[in-house]
Amino acid sequence: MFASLAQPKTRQRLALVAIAGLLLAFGTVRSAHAMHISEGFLPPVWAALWFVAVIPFFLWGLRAIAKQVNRSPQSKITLGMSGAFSFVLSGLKLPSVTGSCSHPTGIALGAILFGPTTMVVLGTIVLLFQAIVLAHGGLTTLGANVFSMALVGPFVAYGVFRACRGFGLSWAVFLAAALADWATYMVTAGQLALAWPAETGGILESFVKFVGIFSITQIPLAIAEGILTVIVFNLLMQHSREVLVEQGIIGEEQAAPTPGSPAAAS
Amino acid sequence: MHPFPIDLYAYNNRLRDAHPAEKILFAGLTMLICLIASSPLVAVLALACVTVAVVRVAGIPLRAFWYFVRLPAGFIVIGVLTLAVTTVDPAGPQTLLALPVGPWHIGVVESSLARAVQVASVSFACVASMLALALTTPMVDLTDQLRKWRVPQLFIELMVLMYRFIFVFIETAQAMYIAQNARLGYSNWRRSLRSAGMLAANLYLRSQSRASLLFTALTARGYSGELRVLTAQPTWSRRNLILIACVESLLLLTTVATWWGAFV
Repeated sequence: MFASLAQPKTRQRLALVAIAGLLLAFGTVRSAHAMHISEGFLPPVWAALWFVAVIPFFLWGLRAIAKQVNRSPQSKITLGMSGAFSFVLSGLKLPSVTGSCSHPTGIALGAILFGPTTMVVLGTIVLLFQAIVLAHGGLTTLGANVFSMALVGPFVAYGVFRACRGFGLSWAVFLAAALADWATYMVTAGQLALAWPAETGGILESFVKFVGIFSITQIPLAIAEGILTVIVFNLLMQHSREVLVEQGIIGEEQAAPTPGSPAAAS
Repeated sequence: MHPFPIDLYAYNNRLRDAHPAEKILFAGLTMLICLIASSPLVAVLALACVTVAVVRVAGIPLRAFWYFVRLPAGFIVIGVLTLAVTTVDPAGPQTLLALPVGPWHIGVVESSLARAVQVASVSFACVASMLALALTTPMVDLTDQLRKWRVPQLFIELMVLMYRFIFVFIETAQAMYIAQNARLGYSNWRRSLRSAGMLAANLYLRSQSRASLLFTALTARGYSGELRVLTAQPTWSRRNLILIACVESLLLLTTVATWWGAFV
């Protein structure tokens, strides 16, 4: 197996010791928070670039919220509560195939319920809190994390939901959640690859490596999250359909009861 | 148990009453220098300085600090191993390890290993600096400081509202979880998903009804779209500023020295 090694043994041993040391020094690797780029992981130029990329969208979202608040002062309180809900949801331990696993749940649910522009602002605050009170993500990498999780994720979810709404709400919700997760982790892999291209294979090789690592945990999680979001959405349909219609989340024609929904069967 | 142990320390440490801007300055400058220097030496030095500051000056137990620093280790270690392992030329002079996989060889070269060590050390140093801020400064102080720096009022109010109600909803969610679990709601994967879904849906409806209750209560007290509160007036401390200046100039000098090739 090691036949192709061309170098003296001491060097191999050094490399192995260094890797083993890294693993041992930090003990058991905790639950895979694979989608939050942690503090200090991006070089300064890239960290700054992602901040610049999200600022226009953030201001757009803030203006949209300001207009809404001017129309009805209650909406500020409602948005605050919705943001707190998103934070708690994102800390929900999602039952996964490999035991329970913490995972940024609820990107799609938030985007469908509160709209993607609002989610940029609420998501930014959620990520800021996660960085400060949970040491999960980071302040320097906030721009990059907002881009993948509070910008691309919600917009993909919302777009997919809107596009597929006609084919049945359950499918639309499932696809929105699963594809939003998938888009988020592709963007994260892309951000890491751009910041740290491989020396021989460049950005592409690095991207393939990160996507490969993420897909081990993220593909089953995306499916689980899709199912979970469908269950949540169907329960909301059962209990507060009029609220969903009122907020324009579902059309009038879909307000009729759906007897064959997957969640009702489970 | 408190949902956020970091928040608990933020209220119980010797730097609780120090000026929040001092703490932001310390954490921010340390992170900036570590990122720009991107040298393992500067990172390790910064890690040491921050640890001393957190343990000796703020009085937070070393064990607790180390526990928090290790929280993001999962991401950092996996990310860094991904950087270290790369496609290699098995006959290359720098190759440390090469395993044949199909037509390619994957393994570790000296430069990829060096980069992995560099990214890991800088990342852990930055995590520690951020924690030096998070473990000593309650969220209220941070939002007060942001208000002074003219961050949009709407954003700050949303932050304050969200922060307050996170605790309320976590309690609600925990109560729901215990009730579900006691009724075998998490006994298998299928049920777990169903229960988690019910929890989330219920929590959403609760949050919305809570919002209208709060709005009614605030309106009854004359709410007109803005929450006004008195803020504390923190004072600058000369001792802290001198300490910050010492640490940052030490890091800066080391950075410049590494650029000149003093430590190879």
